[in-house]
Amino acid sequence: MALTLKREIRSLPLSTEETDCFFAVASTTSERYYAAGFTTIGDDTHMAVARFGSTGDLDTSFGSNGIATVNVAVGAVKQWNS
Amino acid sequence: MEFLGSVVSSPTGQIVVVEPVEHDTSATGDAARDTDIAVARFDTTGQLDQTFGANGIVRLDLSTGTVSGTAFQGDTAWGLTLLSGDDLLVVGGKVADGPGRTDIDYAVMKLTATGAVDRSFGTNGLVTLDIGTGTDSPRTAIIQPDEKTVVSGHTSNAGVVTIVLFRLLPDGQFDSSFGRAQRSPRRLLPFIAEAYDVALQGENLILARYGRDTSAGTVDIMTARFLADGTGIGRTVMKASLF
Repeated sequence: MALTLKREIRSLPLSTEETDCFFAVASTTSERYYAAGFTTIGDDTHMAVARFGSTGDLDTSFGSNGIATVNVAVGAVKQWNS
Repeated sequence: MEFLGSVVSSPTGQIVVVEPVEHDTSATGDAARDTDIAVARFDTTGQLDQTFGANGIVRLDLSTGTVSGTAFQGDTAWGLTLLSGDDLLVVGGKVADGPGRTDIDYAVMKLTATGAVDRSFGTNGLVTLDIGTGTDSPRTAIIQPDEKTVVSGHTSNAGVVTIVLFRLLPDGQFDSSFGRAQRSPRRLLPFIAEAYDVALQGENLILARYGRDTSAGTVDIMTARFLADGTGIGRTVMKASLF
């Protein structure tokens, strides 16, 4: 099945003023795919997972309007180890 | 602080992610910089899966973080691999054991489908690999058709970064038939060679990575191929000034 993307590249602002990043992607057998990373809220980063349909649109049936976030450790520490 | 490392999707539609998180957000001073590993599983609707770990989240505290120069070393995670039956392998790192050690070692953990540590794997669910006193940077793991696990990453010591592959048997023991002393650290370039992912090419192993053959300057995209026994290599260097 040929897929048609509405745009080749699209941005997805998870938070309006702070840093958002995706670091990983996973596909599914149902032609959906997930992009995962973090969004920053109040200087604290939250894990974020977005689900997209085959055309690149957010799947709004997932999480909140297509995006699930969770803040496992509430705290404003902006550093990490690699 | 959440800094996600990897995401996998199971055949049943669950989504699992892994990341380092703060160990204790109420701590002060350097202790506030300590990190653990968190694994979270979502159901198909994007809600945390309450049948996994504690309310959808598993926390792994493998070591107490420590200051290393101007940096801070704590538990970290990068890779997540889905196994049969929705079990999981977490590829991460922990502070090396021993007095005065401030470097990171490889740490591979196995979780069951419910988020419990599978203590039949490695030693009580954990496999560690300590390559000298350099800091190790774990990346990803793949499962071969024979159910052996190949883990990729690199290690840094005295300004030289070397790629690392090691292979585990299904029970988490090192595969003595692989590489040199069950692992395959290879200095492919004089200065920098970092590995970020590994894939199977038939029985061989392909690494995606970058590096440089000078002590400073730009890096180039590179790939390398290891034979199935972890020996014998070929490499390509793409001098495409992308960085």
